[in-house]
Amino acid sequence: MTPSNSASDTATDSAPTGSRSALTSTSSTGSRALGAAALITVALGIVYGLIISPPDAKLGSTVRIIYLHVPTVLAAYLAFIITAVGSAMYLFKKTEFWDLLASSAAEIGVIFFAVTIIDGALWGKVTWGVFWRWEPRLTTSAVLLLMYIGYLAIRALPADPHTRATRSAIVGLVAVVNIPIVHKAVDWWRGIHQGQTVLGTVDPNMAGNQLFAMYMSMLAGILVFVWLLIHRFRVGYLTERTEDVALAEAIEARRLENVGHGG
Amino acid sequence: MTNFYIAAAWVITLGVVGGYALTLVIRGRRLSRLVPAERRRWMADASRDVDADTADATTADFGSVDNIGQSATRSHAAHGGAGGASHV
Amino acid sequence: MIRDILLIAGKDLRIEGRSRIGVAQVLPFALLVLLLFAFALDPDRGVLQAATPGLFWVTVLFASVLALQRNFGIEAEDGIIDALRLSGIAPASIYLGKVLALIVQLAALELVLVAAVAVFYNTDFHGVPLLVAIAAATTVGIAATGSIYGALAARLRSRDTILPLLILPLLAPVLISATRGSEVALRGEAGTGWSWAALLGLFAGAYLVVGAVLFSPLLEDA
Repeated sequence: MTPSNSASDTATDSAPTGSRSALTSTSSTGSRALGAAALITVALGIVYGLIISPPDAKLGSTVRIIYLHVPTVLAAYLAFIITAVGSAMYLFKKTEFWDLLASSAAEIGVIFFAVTIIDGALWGKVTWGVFWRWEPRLTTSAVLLLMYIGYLAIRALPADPHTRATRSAIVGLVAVVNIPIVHKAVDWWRGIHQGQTVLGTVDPNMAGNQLFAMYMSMLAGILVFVWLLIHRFRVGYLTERTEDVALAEAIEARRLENVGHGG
Repeated sequence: MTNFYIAAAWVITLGVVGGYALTLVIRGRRLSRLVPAERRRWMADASRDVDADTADATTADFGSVDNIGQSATRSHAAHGGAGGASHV
Repeated sequence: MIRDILLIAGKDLRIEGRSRIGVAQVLPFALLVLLLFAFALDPDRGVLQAATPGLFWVTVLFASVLALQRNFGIEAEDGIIDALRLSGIAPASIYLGKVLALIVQLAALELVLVAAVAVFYNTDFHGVPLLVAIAAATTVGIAATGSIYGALAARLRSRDTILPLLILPLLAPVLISATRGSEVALRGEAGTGWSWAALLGLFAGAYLVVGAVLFSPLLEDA
């Protein structure tokens, strides 16, 4: 637990940037291994998704966008579930861990959701000739994205950590209750106007390299998500600590000032 | 044109997620220099499982007495500036 | 508990009764929005009639945001939230009282807007039981979510911008359901409309529970 101990630990890691910079980063042995695994799956996902896998019988080559769409939306939903769990646990336990977990996941979820919607719009441009149709899944995603942008907005307001965490936890819980209701409302609404759409569904008849590309990209999505979550968590944790340090320095400076006046 | 949109989707997805990952790493390095190593618990005992490591490190940290004191004073300082600090 | 709820609701309604901000500002604003829609969508081409349910509920949503800011803004300014915390009334009762007061105000607003729509948009009303059910569930839903976020945003300096950002996406399924349900009702085919009313009821019920549970940490810490 001493600094020298940690230095010798990290020195044995074969970090490409050398042990000195490894000391001042948010990576650890575990996260580095995870990052390597994520990079490998992403590379495999690119090779299989773009080159090796054949065009789909029904979707043609647009299936290659589905290889992106499914993992990103999967990661986004995973993120929002974690945000909800973290929010609920924060209200029970009131520990920094759950607050940081919830807010880290929300930020990553918003990014993945934004990417999901962009991919969906590009897929729509190819398939329908227009970027946007009020396709149920795209519509649901847009509503949920805006809801979680609100979460991040609340989170960004300056406040002491406990107040900010409670506020965010309330928004995180209120938002997650809405997800199934938004789904139902949008499905009923758009279901009246058009039949089932293929966007975001995995074809059960998918096989061979296509199926492998899909699974590989899903695995890549999850691994990248977990890696991002760990690092976003640590960045958030460090941000809090630097505020501690800055405050301690301010107090110390003020105290010295008072002493100076006294003397 | 189809291939253009497919390429755009891949470039945007990998670019946005990769760019975000890069900013996280950069932010992490910048912040790490400001915080002493013994307060970065994932550095302290790398042999343990990553999640469990951060989990009990931060829980313990937030629960420790000196830290509660700090977060309480931080609320004053955040609003009152130097006045809040003198209050301490 | 019921006495506490009525006490809180009565207090809020008395404040409104004396200040008359709702009657003097929110209501005229809502009527103005209805007129603006008519200017934007040419009434002669039938667009206005076809879009009436949607325009009506959008107007209600916008007016609700104003009413919320009004209802919770005064509390924050006068430090009433702290006083309520010290009063010993259970947070859930405070929450339900606020919801009740909002329901009364929103229902009054909707009644006036219905009359305005009937006159200006020349609406024929069919399927009145379904319309009433939809309006009731929607009103409770808006009040239930609005009271959570209204109280949350009240003490923030940027509350005027953060409240719409938080509440409008949350109410998206309410707008969809209320509009589709009202369309069905106005066409005189009540059958499928009741499932929309049920979804609205589910939304309202879910958020009443969520609000009653979350109001305690909200009052204490947020």
